[in-house]
Amino acid sequence: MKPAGTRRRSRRVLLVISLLAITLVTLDSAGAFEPVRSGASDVLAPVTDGVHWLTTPFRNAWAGMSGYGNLETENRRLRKQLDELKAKGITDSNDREQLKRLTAQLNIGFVGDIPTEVARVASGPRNNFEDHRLEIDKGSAAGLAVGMPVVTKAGLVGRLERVSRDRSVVQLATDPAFVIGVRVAQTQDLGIGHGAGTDKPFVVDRGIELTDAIKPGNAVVTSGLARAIMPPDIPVGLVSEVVPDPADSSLLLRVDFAAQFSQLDVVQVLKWTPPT
Amino acid sequence: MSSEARTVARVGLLLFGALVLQLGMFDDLRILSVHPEVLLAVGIGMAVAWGPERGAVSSFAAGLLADLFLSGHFGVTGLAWGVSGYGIGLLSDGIVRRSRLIDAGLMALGSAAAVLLYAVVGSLFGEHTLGDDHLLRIIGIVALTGAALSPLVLPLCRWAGHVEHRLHSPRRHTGA
Repeated sequence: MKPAGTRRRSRRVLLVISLLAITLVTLDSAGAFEPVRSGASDVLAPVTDGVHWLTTPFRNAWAGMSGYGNLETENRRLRKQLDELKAKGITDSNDREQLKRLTAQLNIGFVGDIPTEVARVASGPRNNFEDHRLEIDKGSAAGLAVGMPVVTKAGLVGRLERVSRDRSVVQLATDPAFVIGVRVAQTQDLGIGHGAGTDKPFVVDRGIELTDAIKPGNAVVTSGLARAIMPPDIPVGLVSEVVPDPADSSLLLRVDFAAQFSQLDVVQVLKWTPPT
Repeated sequence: MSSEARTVARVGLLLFGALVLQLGMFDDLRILSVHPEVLLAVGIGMAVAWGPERGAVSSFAAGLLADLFLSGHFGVTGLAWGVSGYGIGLLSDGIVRRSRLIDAGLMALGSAAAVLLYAVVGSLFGEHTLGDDHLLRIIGIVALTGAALSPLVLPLCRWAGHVEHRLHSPRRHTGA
C-alpha cells in the first residue's frame, strides 16, 4: 500500500492535469492554438511523408488484404451496372445528343474563370470517430486560404478549414455542420442543405416548398447567392429521394453526392474566398 | 545529464517516435475502418509501467500531441488520456504478481477506457463522439490493438522510465 502522502500527491497531479486541460480547451475556443497546430503540421510533414513513402508497400498490402471483400462487392456492382447500361442502349447517338443539349441549357459553368490549385490527399481521417476531415498537401505557400472550396471533376468535396504553409485541412461536405445554399438546376428552386454523415446523402431541408416540382434525378448545384460561402454552380449531386413534410409545407430532398468520398486521391482547390 | 533529464529525453523520444509512426503509417492501417492508436498505447503503457502519477502526466502529454493533429478542441484528448492513464496506473500499482497476460489486459482496459472517456468528454464539448454509430467497434478494436502492442510497447516504456520489469517479483520497483 502506498503512503498517504504519495496518494495525495498523485491526486493533486490528476487535479492539475484536469484543470490544465480545461484551460487549454477554453483557450482553443478562442483560436489560440491554430498557429501551434499549423506549425506542428508543417514541421512534421516531411518526416511523416518519409515514413509514408517507406511504408507504402506494407500499407498497400494491408489495404489489399483488408479491403478484398469490398473490392469483390464493388466489382460485382460495377459489372451489374455495365450490363444495365448496355441493355438500356445508352450508347445510342440520339441519347448522347439530347444530353449534350440539356447540359448546355442548364449552363453548368462549374469552375469557369476561377483559378485552381491541384492537390493530393496527404492523409485521410486522423480520428477514429467521424470528424469529416482530410488533409491535402498544399497550403498557404501555394496561395490557399481558409474558406476556399475543394472539388473534384465530379463535384463538391468540401472547403478549407485550416491552412498552414504546406498543408491544409478540408472540412468535407458529409459533415452535418457543413451548411450551404443550393439550387435545383431543373427548377431553379433555392434551398439550404447540409451533410448528414459518412456514406449518407446530402440533405436539403430548408427552403423547398411542398408545391415545387422536384423529382428524383434532378441535379443540385451550389446557389452562390450573396454572402454565400461557395461560388455558384458547383455540382453537389443528384436528388435520390423527395420526402414531403405536410406539417411544415416543405419538401426534404436527399441528394447523392457526385464526388466519391471513399476514393479521393487528387482534388482541386478553387482559389475563391467568400466575400466578407 | 541528470537521471531525470535522461528520463524526460527518453520519454520525449518514445512519444515522438510513436507520433511519427501513427501519422505516417498506422492512420492508414484500418481494421473494420478503425486504426490502431499507437500514441495512446504508449501513454497507457507508461501508466502500466510507472504508476498513476507519472502515467497520468505521460498519457496527458501523449494526448496533447494527438490533439495537435486532430480537428476537435485542443486539450480534450489530453484530458481523456491523462485521466485514463491515472486510473490504469492505480490499478497496475495494486496488482502484485504480474504476467504478460495481465499486462496485455491492463493495456486493453486502459485503451478502452481512454476511448470511452474521449467520447464522453468530446460530447460535453459539442463533438459528435458519444453518438457515433461505431463507438463500440472503435473501443473494441483500439483495446485489442493496444493489447497486441503491449509486448513491444511495455519494454520500451520501462526502458524510458528506468523501471525494472516486475513479472516475477512481488515488490514494486520505481525508476531512478
